[in-house]
Amino acid sequence: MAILEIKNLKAHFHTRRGVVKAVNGISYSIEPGQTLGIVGESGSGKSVSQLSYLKLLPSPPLKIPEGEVLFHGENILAMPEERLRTIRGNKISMIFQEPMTSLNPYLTIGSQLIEPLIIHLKKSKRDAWKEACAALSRVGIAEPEKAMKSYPHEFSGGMRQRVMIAMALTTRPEILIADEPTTALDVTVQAQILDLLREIQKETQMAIILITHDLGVIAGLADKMVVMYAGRIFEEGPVEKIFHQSEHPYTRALLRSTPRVDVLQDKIPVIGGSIPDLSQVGQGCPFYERCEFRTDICQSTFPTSRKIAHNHETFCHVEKFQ
Amino acid sequence: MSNSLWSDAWARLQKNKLAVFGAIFLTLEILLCVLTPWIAPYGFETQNLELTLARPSFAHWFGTDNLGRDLFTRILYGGRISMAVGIIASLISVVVGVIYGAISGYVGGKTDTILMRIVDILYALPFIFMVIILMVYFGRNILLLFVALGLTQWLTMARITRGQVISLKQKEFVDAARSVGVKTRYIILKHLIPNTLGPVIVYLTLTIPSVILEEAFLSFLGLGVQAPMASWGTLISSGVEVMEIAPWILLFPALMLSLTLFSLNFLGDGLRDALDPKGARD
Amino acid sequence: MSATPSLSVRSLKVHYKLRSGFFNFKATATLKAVDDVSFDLYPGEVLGLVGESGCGKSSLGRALLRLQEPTSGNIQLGGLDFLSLHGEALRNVRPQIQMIFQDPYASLDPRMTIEATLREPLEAHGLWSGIDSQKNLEQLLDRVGIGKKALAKYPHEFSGGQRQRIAIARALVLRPKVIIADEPVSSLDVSVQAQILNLLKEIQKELHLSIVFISHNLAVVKYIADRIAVMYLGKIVELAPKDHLYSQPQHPYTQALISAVPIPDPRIEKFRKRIELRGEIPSPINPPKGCAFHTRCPIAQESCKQHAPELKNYRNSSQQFSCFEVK
Repeated sequence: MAILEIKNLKAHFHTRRGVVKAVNGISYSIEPGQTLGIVGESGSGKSVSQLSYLKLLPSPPLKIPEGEVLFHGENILAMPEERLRTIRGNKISMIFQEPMTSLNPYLTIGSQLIEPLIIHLKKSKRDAWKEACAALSRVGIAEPEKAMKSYPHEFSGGMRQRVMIAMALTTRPEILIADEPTTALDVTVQAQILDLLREIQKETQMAIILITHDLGVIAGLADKMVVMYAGRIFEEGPVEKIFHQSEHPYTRALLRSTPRVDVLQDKIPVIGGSIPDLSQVGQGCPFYERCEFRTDICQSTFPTSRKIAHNHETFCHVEKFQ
Repeated sequence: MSNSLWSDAWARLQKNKLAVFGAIFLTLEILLCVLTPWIAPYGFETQNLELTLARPSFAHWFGTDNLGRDLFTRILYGGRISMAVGIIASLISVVVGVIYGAISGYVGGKTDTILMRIVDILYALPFIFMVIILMVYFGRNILLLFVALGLTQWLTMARITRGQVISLKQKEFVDAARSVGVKTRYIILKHLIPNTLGPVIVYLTLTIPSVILEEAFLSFLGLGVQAPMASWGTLISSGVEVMEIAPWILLFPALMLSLTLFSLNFLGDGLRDALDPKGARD
Repeated sequence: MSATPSLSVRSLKVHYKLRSGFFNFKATATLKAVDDVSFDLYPGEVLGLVGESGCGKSSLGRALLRLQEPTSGNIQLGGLDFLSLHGEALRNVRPQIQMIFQDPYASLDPRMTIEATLREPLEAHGLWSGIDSQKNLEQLLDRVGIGKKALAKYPHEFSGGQRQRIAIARALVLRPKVIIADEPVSSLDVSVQAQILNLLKEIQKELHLSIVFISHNLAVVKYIADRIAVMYLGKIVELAPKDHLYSQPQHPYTQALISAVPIPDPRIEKFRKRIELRGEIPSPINPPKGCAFHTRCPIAQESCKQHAPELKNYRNSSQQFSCFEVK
């Protein structure tokens, strides 16, 4: 039974230059204990897809013209603000790419950590303090008491990200949305943070929505994944299937053009062109200009879903890639 | 069909109605002030002792003052002085401030530290009092007035320029120019200064009203321009004296001053928004 | 390698003195960004320079171009003692070594047209000669995949990938022999990265350029470099030809680094055993005594805290690394 179900979500920005269709009709769901990876390049809409329904983006200019986001069957988009607030930061938590900007530089770590516990779980200050210390320990911060009294700028990037994770976990959320959580970190620190997320998920059976452009990170952490491009979903399915048996030209091209540490690559095949202007996308497939398999129908109509296996679907008119 | 940041800014400026109003008003005003000797209905000293403190009428649009001089004419001539003071003093502050700030910012190190500490110390001094002391000691020379007022404003201009230059210095396109072998003076001229012009122009349009106001204040105190010359400040000052019996003598110069200040502020705000390259990508 | 190096670096140091106090005169600590680095760059070779934050790779890149003056050391460029040149003499030599910068949005002056940006290097050296030069610029732009209509346009009219192509063109205008590429693809999307990497590879081969390719991304460096230097806290800890580095890394840091890079294949990535490093990267201000890596090293011994190891060759091969514990 899915905890979160997104149905045909659209999120548009109304700007001076036109309507930017950042998210243009996406659907997927996530089960408890599952890690869903959303992979995409800039402009794919991967971050907006989560920020939009949690009302974390200014609207105007954002408008959500269509779609449903069902959390345990209840539509988040139709919820009044007070109800949404009991879910956001509580049942659905989020961590971001830049921990420096997510943490208030003027408040101690401690005061920021206990806040969600007091507001959402109605704990007393003492209990909240104890739980926060335990959370810091859990994420691998030595001397949690000392850390509680410190300020964000006294910590390195990796430590701050651990603090963010601790903060997100204190309310024992059902879903953790991690938006490029390790992109700004050094690779050895990234490995530590990803391992931490994996351990925590095993313990708590929390669902994770992992948003990233890094295919390696998805490969290590995600169970199922969704490939996004210019506001659309191109392919969805178990990670193993998508990496080894992809049925979409973009996914295949992306996988082939990613340099790897374990393989000696002589020449990486390239995807020509660049990502389209999101205010100019029409009804057709946004990958049309860059696709080597394109046909006429691709330009005029965006493909409907085609099932490859019971949980693997692709959005492409072309059926054979030889 | 090129699309430079300037033409982009111009387009955005045109959309800002307040800024456009400000620009039009100022242009008309400057035109009037320049053409004053030809269009003023009377001489600014022409007295008509039979018609003192007269109400506005067809012959005298703004009425007359206590010596029967046409107020409209006096305001026009006063405008020439006030605007001139505003523009020239501001230009002095820009030239001194930009050069000082650019050198401090680009050279950096100990020089920068010393130069900026000097600015900090000067900031602490109450400038208006310094100007008043200067005026009292050296007499009321109009040129001295321009220079003195200009020197009250250069400090902030220097800080703004220095800040811009420091952040530009670290930009990679400056490094690129150095690595290619461009001489330092060309880096300052072709890269640094064009990229500082934005904030400098904006600050300039906001400095001018400050200076005009300071001059008005000094004149109001009796330390600015000398009679029979007039500036809006002196006119306001005389207006206050006869406020109860002839309020229009205060009203019209005050109105002109206010409208000019509003226009400059609207234009300044508009320029700041238009020239901000971040605003260009919506 | 028997040829004469295009670039020879010996004992290069870039140390910053940090100051405090009202007049910033009191020196309180030293930031050792680059701490005694030596290497050779051969003609037609791509040397990758990798490391994490604080390793000094960017400072090293800038020092090689003297955008930041080295504190001490020696750089031989085309047979000349590069660091001893100043003023006019320095400017005359600059065409030999050029840079491609990381941020395509910041490396082009937003207020200059592409033509003005590309002319500038030529004009600075008195090499601009009207129509012929113009034609050469058009050809150059064409070579990097940008049409000649770009000349009249401004940087903000182009995408990140296109700007980086223009930056490559600018680096090539003066026909350098050595190029320092500082994270040239790090700010680009994956689908565009491959385009730029391939372009660089082609041009490098065509023009027989020597390139120092700086990156934090080990996978990208594996693709483009011939030899690779791994840096940590201002020092080179390992220097090896590409295949040796990735298949038999000797230094514990290199091993940990390679094991930390995620591999885009769930069959491999989900089952990997990583080499875990303790703690965080120390600050380059007053780095650890002895071997700078000892605070995180899985095989550190007491002696590692006392003495700093030197780069030594591994079993007569061209692979070098600096560690006491590996035999």
